[in-house]
Amino acid sequence: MQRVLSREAPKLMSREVDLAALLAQVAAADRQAFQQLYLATKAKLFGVVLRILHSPDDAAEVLQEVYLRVWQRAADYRPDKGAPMTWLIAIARNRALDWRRRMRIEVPLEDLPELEDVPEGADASPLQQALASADGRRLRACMEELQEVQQHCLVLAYQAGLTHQELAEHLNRPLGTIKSWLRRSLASLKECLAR
Amino acid sequence: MTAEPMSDLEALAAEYALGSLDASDRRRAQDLLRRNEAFAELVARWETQLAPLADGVRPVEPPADLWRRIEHELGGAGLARPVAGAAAPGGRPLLASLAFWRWTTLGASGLAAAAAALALYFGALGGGSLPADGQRYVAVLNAGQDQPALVITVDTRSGRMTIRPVQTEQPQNTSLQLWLVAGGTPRPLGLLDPLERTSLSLPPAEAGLREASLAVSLEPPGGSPTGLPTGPVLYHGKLLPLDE
Repeated sequence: MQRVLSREAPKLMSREVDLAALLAQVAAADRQAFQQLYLATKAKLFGVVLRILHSPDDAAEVLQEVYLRVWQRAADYRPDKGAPMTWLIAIARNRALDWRRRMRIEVPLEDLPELEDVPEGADASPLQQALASADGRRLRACMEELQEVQQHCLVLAYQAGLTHQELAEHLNRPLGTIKSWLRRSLASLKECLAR
Repeated sequence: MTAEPMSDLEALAAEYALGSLDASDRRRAQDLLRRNEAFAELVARWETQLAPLADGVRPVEPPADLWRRIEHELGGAGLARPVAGAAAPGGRPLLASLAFWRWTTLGASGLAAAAAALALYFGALGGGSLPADGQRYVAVLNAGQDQPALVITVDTRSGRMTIRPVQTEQPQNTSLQLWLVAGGTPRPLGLLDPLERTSLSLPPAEAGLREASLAVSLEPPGGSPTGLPTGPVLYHGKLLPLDE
């Protein structure tokens, strides 16, 4: 009996398929592909960098460095190690964090959001909003095992780039408490994600 | 829920990926990242695991002229790709003008001015005024009389030096090690990244920077095993005081 095999490809996000292909072309010094990559990713990366730096001028300067680095290092992207966007975001965050630490940028603590801007009466919990994607579901499930203040700590550190010291000031807790929270939170995330 | 505590190495990797390390711990982690493969893998794994946290960050349109700025830089110095034969296309305004500078034919003051101009171009000095109790130096390292490979600024007050690669080559499976040459024996200062700005601390009590030079040698991965240069010197240049 002949079986009709489904021709449907696995439902990969088209964006990611494209980005991986674009990165491969960029690695071969294809300027046009580089521009497409830029157009497809600039707003997300600018958002990520801006969140850490708060100043649009600084963020633009850092983003410029980020794309120059992507141009230089596109060949280092390994599709088997993660999604292209993950790779790009890691570059952007690291440049932004370096900049923030180097310039000792002080973000007024009152400017920081409580868990990322929850709209009034939203159904989703703050954590659900912070971790909206399918990939995020596993991380979210694991983060939900933590206390809410510890979740908040992780999100603030990741998204806004706060140091242990800044977290302590913002959350009004001793530095030692923040340090041990983070360590324990990360250890339990590790254990949970490995399950 | 109580979990097994992580090793210090993994905790450092996780906190680096999370982004919560302060400036000095972050530098320590980056140093480790360059020389310790196991640590680099831990960081990569944590970066992937935590990546969904970026979903909650709303996209924001960058300034409209950003692409033009990037394109303008694309042909510039420092962007020659590490891949052989794939030179950055397009015009290279900075590099072209630098190539015309014949370092050896400039007088010492011309050289200092040129170096200062370069350092300012790269924003390495942060535009600060003269430090009250410190001295700033700049060195342009090159491979002979050709294009500059690195620009290094030293601030004796903060005790730090900043290394900006311009056009630095690093063969695979080697390290680039920076040395201070002041009088006799070269002193190791640290390892360089050929593409990244690196910040290193200056060994204490360096009274003799005035007559000193910096040199970069090619070493086995992780640096010279002997504490002295073992490979060829690729780049070198004199330290020049800036605030005079």
